[in-house]
Amino acid sequence: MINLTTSDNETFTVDKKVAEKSVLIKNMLEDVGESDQAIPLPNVTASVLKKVLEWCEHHKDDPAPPENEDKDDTRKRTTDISEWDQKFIAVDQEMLFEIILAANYLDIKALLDVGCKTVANMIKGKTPEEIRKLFNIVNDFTPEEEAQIKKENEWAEDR
Amino acid sequence: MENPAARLSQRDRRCDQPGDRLKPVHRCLLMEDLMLQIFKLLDSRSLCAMAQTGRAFHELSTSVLWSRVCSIQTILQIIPRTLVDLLVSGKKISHEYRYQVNRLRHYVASTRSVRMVFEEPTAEPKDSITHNQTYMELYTCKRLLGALSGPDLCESQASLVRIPQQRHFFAHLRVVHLQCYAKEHWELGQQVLSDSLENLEATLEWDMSKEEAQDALLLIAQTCPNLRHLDVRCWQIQTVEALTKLRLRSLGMTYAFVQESEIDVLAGMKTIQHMSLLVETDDPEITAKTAELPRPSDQTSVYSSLDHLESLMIRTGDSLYLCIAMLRRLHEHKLRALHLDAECISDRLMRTCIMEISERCIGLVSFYWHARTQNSHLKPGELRNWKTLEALGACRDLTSFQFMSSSKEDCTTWTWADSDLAEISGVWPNLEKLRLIALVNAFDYEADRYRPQITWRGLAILAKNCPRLKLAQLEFDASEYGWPVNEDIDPAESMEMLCLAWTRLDGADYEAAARRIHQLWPNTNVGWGLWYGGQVERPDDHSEDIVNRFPDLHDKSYEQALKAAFAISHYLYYVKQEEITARSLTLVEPDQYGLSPAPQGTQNGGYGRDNTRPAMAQIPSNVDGNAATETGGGTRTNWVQVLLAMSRRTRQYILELSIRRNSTTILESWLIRPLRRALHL
Repeated sequence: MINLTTSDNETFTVDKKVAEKSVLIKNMLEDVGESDQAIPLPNVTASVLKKVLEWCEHHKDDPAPPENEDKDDTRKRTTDISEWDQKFIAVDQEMLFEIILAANYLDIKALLDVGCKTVANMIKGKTPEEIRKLFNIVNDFTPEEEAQIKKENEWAEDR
Repeated sequence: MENPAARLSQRDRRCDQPGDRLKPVHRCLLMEDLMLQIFKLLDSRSLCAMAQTGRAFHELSTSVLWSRVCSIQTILQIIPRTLVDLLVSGKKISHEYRYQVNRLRHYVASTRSVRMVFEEPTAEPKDSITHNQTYMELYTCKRLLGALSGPDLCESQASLVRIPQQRHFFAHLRVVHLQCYAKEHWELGQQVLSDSLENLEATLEWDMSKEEAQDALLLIAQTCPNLRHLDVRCWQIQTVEALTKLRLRSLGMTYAFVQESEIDVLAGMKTIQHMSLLVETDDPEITAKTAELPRPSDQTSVYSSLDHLESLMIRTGDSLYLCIAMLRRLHEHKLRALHLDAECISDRLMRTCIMEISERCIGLVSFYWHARTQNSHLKPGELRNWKTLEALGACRDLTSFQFMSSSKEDCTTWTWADSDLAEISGVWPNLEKLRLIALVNAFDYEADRYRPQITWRGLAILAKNCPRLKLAQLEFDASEYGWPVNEDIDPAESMEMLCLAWTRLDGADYEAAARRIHQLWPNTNVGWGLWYGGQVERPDDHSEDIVNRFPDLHDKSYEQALKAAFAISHYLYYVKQEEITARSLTLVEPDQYGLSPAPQGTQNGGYGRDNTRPAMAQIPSNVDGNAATETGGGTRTNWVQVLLAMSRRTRQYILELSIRRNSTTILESWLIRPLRRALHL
């Protein structure tokens, strides 16, 4: 069993197998070796870690994803998410982004993927104005600039 | 809920702002590496929308979007006319355009791949080149690209996007595809070349001198030092010495003529793993000595060896001379794929070539050979078949064997029979692709002397001995019903496509043939065709391709072969459908026919093998969706079955009609063709 301490000083005790879904923790354990001391996770709060561990628990037996780095461009632009993950990630926006940040920090690629796909699905098919509303983005273009940018990129629209 | 008063107070702001000003953008959205991952998942349309939301997202979203651009036209089209005039004039750009110009440069810098395909010149006089331009006036275009890549067009301070200075205009370009048919085209095309380029495919086909061709190669080598893959099509090239400093992984080259010294140059480029040479020899002086063998050499030195090659493709109008000379530089059996297409002028050349392969290329996995011959004269009693090639059996790991022979005369000299298939399948039980084509150029395949000698027995042997076979292209005589005994039939599941070429069949036998094929290879489909030169290994059904490749092909034979494959393929469809229907007699799965959801309790559905003609009375008169749900799932299933059976009957009827089409020419054009189109037959 492994102990993990969050930024708000809460300690979680989890199965080693579950914790090792995080490459960060896995590497730490390999470097430091087994010890009773808790691993500090200063970038993650308890509420987020709880959620992340829930995901790791469910996916602990998944096979390791294939290593294909630098293949981003050829990767299929698929945004399919499994049913369980969809339910898991159905949280408010704040929590969604926190999970993404945590997955990024803890280096859990599959969870990061689920998060990114969810955000991509939120953006898909929306107008610029709808996206601004969605993410509280302030429009800092002049109207002329905005029109020009639209014109410069609208070739993409009929694809 | 937001305060309505707050929203009102923001109304007069420049643009619509989100109501809740207190809530800033989440920090996650401002992390570039995370956003990059998200943007890569987006479609182009959404990226375009994202680019318009705000400055924070413009640069990243457009760099993902523009990395997907591949046509230079897109780039040229977005530059407004006024800006084009300004840039071409060479004047300093006024302040109002600065952001725009910087954005343009950012877009262009983000592109990864560019295609510039100019129009092929028509047969008109040479001076008409100026009218034959795919892009806006070549001069303007050249000035424009030149101006945009200029270093001090305008200051970049406080610009919307960061442009690294002193970089090439196309800073991240990886792949370029150029097709130039005039010197002017090439002059424009050169401008997109940069040191970031990894992959270049260039067609340079105009009336240029040999020196000009060498200069072009030199320019490519100098501007693109990081090239990994290069494919040049230019008939004036005689040597690739200019390229020796590049660390190419693959090289495709066309040559006017290859001298033996040139093989040394190629051998010196040790990073090349894949090489493809196309050699045209029109020079009569050269052709005169082609029947010769290359002198036996003991070139064992590392410098002259070609052992760094994994795949080698040689296509030449010349004899096997070049092929043999190159094979003799292999010592370590490292070659995995070999593709030869050359004239087999003499038996001696051919035998030598086979011997060299069996002694030097044991590691081959894929072997393609198009053996062309000038004439088809054989000594009485002489046969060319597997016995001639037997030594190739030394290449134990072969999984793809494609042998094609053709002759300038009416028939090639190769004959394949059941016994050959038995031996081939014995030597290579792991074959996945097999092609044996001998009669490609047959003018009259109906004549007895061109009769293929492979029968059903041969196919059964193949299915039994080579269970991994996925693609096969064979000429076989289906009218010879030498059907094997049951013990010899061992169905193989892996076969995906059986291509029939010149298979003899009478119209009445199509259905029987389909059933037999299905029995041997239950998952296969049937097609007609020639795989394209072994490069694109898929059966090709386009009649144009075949006619283009073999202009002498007798129309009638071609039509006949096409018709046979076409008809068998459709009978095969019914045989498979029958099987599905028979299987689903007890449990019908309507989803299979594109309907959902599956109704419960469908015990009464289905028209099986013996009941394929539903009476019209069985069709419910009220057929819309409501009726089906009202009367319960059973009716709905019935309806699906009836539809299926009806469409099958209609298809069958049309098919029968089209098979008897000689007598129904009018029917064909007025009824069958449109119907076929409608039913996707």
